[in-house]
Amino acid sequence: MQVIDAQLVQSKIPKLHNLSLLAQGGQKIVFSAIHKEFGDVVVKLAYSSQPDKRIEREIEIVTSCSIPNTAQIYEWDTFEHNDTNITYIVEEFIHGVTLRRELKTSGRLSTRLVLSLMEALLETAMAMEKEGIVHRDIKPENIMICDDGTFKLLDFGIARHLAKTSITPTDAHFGPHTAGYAAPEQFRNLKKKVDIRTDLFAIGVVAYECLTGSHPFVDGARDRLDILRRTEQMIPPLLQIDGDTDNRLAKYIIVLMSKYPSRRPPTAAIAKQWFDSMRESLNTETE
Amino acid sequence: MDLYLQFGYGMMEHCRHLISRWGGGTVVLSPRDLTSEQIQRLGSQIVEMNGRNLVDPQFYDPRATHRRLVNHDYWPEDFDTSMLGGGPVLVALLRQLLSLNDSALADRFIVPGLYAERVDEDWLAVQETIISEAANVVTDRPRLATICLSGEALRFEDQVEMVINAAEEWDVSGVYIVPEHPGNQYLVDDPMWVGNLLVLCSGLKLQGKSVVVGYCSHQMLCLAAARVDAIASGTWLNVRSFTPAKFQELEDDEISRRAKWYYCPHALSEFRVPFLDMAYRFDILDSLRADESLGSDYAQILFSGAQPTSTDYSEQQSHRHYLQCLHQQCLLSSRGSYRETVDACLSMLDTAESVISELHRNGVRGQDRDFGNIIDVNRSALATLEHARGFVLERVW
Repeated sequence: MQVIDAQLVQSKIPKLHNLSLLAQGGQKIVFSAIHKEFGDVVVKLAYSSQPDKRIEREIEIVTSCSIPNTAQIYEWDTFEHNDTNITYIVEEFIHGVTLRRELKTSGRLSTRLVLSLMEALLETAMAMEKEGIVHRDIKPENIMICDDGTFKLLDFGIARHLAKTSITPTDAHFGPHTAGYAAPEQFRNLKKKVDIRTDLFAIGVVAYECLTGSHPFVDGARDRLDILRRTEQMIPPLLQIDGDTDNRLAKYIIVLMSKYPSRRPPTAAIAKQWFDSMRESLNTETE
Repeated sequence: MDLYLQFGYGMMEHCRHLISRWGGGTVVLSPRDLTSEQIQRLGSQIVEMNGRNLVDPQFYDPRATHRRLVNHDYWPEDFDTSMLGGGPVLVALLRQLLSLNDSALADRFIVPGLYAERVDEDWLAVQETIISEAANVVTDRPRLATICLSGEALRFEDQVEMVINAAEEWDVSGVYIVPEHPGNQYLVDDPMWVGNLLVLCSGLKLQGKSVVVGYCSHQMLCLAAARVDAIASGTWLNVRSFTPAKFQELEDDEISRRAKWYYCPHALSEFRVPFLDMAYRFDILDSLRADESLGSDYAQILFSGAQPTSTDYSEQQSHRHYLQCLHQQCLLSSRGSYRETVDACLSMLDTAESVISELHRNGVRGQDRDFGNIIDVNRSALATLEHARGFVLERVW
């Protein structure tokens, strides 16, 4: 049932005009619009009979923390319409394309671009780590390549604040996840084991996919359960990357993608530190 | 990596002698082999010699029947599984054990832990209960959690990783690992077992915990590559390898095999004295002599020019020679980086391979203590470690 349309949104948020539908699914709807004060914006709305805890958590995380390389939230609020709770977020419109679209167009990314992407994601992970946040949904669909060549991580919709009570029921067999990018401890709903290393796993998968143009767990899988099985059991082959003397970058990515958290870098800060020292030796070789 | 002395049958005098000679060192005291009075007396003597003590609670099987062990005050008279859920009985056990540690002047406390046939949620829950109760009872010294795993459990990577994951939350500064040797083997021929032990130790070290591995032979020199703090070893095979059976009454202090062995450190193999006669006959006996830098003069008599079997080489000399050499090998095995340490381990294996090959050509064989078949096992285990953690250990050492 269509609950929200552009007309309704404009009537509730009068500072918006030129609304255009971007995406719709589940109990969410997303518009692009022009805001009188902020210019180009994205408006995300979630509707349900009960207040949406996830969108509330997303607002709380993005507005209370200083996380680089993410879209800025300008304003948010809730209103009721026909006995339905509607929560909305007005956030920065990122001019660019999603990493998914870029992969579809170009097949894969250059090593130099992948290194920049990894640097941005690791910086973001470091900031999230300081705040006790795990994004839990790092994937090409949620990464924007901006027109100025920088990267932004979007959608904190299933992010977890480690110090706060989990929204997912403890007895749920699977935790919220995207198959192929979620680490085993995440989709197995081992809540106590989910920390920033879970995001490092996804960063590794994204980097692997960008370098090869193929997904190590998804491509060739029969179905979603097969993707999860492969994520738990498969060790992707070591990549051969031009200029990657001694396979340093390739090994680093495999370490990020380790199925056991204990085998990944222990913190995002250490992951970044290792990345920097590894990159130093790569820069001259890959540029 | 240090060598601790694992107390067992006939170790009393060896401990006093070696700790005195080394000017320090650590003894892991065994309630199975010592009464509380003996623990107190020996503990004091060791500390007087600048040594340190640990008390292994040996609570691997609460239903153990070994008379001396179950006669200790801390051992529960009527074990009931409900006590593993915590509460006054467990607290009383820990207090009694603390008292025994006090009398032994132990400056670290080994928290008791049950033998895990397999690592599962139940075993982990019991571990957590005991560890958290111990944190309330023992507050004045570092605590080491016992991790006692069956030979089968150590074969499975997933079970090893479950332990590592759980240990992140344990309120202890270190661990005391007691790995059951599969099939009662002295030298373990299963590369998966040795490799997983390396992975377990390195994972716990990366958490900043101190790691002591009990019941080791010289095969465990490779644990230096996991940056293990110490391995513990002793005289007879039942303190150089672990089986829970030794805590049952049937297994008595009788040591059935009384053959005298000579440990050739650079061959990583032991030889019965009659086989040294073969080396004597083919004029290669000197190639078995331990390097002087290892500081063992205990076996000198074997190289005095007489046929080895005609000498008075004693059991005591055999044991002290083994422990002296192993002590030095442990100290030498730790290097400044992961890569250097692995290279040193591999080099040790290469040397052993070459020496053993020459010895075999001349009919000098170590029988069931020959390292010839174990060399590739350890190489393979080191490759497992490299694969699992090489990248990380190169950066965190």
